[in-house]
Amino acid sequence: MNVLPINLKGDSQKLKSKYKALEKAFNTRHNDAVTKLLGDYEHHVKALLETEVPVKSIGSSTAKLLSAGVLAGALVLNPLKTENFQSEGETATSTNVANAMTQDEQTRQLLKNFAAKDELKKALATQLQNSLPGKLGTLSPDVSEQVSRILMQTTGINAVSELDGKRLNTDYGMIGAEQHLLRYPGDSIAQHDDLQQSGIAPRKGAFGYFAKSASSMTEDEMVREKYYFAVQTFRSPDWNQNVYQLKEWFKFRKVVAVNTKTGDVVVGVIGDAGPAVWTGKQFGGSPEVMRELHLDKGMRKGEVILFFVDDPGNVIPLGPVK
Amino acid sequence: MENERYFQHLSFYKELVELDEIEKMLNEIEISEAERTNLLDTVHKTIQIEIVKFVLDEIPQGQHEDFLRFLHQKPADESLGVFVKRSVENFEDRARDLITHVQSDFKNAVLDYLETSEEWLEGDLGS
Repeated sequence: MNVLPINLKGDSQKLKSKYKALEKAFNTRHNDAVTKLLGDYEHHVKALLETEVPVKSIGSSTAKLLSAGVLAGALVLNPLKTENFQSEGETATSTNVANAMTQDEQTRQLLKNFAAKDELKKALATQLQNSLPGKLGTLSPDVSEQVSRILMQTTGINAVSELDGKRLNTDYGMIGAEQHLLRYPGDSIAQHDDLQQSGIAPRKGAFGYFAKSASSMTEDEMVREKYYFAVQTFRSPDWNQNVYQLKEWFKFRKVVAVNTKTGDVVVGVIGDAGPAVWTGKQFGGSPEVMRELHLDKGMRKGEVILFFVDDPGNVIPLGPVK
Repeated sequence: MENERYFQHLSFYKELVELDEIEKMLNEIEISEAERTNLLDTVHKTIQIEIVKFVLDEIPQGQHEDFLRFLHQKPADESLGVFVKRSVENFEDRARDLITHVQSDFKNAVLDYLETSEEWLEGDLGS
């Protein structure tokens, strides 16, 4: 970038104060930036400059920006008018227009997706925080129903705290990081394709292997281990009276976890029993689950809602909900 | 209110703005606080224009309208930063260099001013 030849001496006879001299030099540099921007992007920017913004409709700080004749403020504050973008005499062929629209639409969608995703997550987290009690534990029927409604509205998932008359000991609790689980006889950490640094449990999970062998393991079976949760089945209502039936019901049962602080949502399956009561945590998450909940750094734990997913058609895929 | 710093940089690059050197130089000049603030705001505004032009230079023409519209509607949205960093190669380093260059231009203006004698500025020199 060229340094402007700030020639104070040429104009100095007319300058009355130290400040005026400096102000002139600074404004010259500023105007140079404006000129260059206008030179290259006149079609877009000129439309902004020529648009009058009613001062009453903007805040006091932005009014100052506009009153100072600042282009930067105009860029931020004045809406673009698409009808000004096509210069006189320009002929847009159908191909060019189609290409331009496709590219513009893709960009529009890109920007919308970024904004929408973040906004949805924030909205979900806010709504949950406004509904949840201060203490972790089993939610009241009213709050549980409210959470279900919020999850349905934001994710489209039918999530419930009680399914087929079955419940967990809690549905709002602390989740901690778990290791990978053995997926089949002879499995090892080296054969897991992600997050090997989390290690692998030395024994099978409470519900056994996910597949019969390495060669027979299906994509579904592999993904179940990726996104598994550990829950305290041994503390669920009626567990002692009905161990075998309940164990079978809980095995690979589809559940959804929501990080109540961030709004991150992950769908997974119940793949193990735990954690131990003395840990103070109520749920465990596989390495992939913890990563998608953004709880894989630092203390590697956090507060989540964990509900069953009512999905008889098995259409809800496992993994992060985007 | 008059002296209040009101300019706020767009969120997607404001962390890169560091103007300690020009601020220090202006602090050493005999001008009022309001005048100093006004000069610094000119620097900030210039940076904003330069950064916006830099991004427009780097992204495809078909994205200009959407970028500027998003800039207008959601200037503080973090998604803007995600978009810019994905679309502009090595954005942070290059934007930082650009800001340094802009600051250098203003610093040189201050140095030019300081080299000029006070008598000359007040017009006391003979013809």
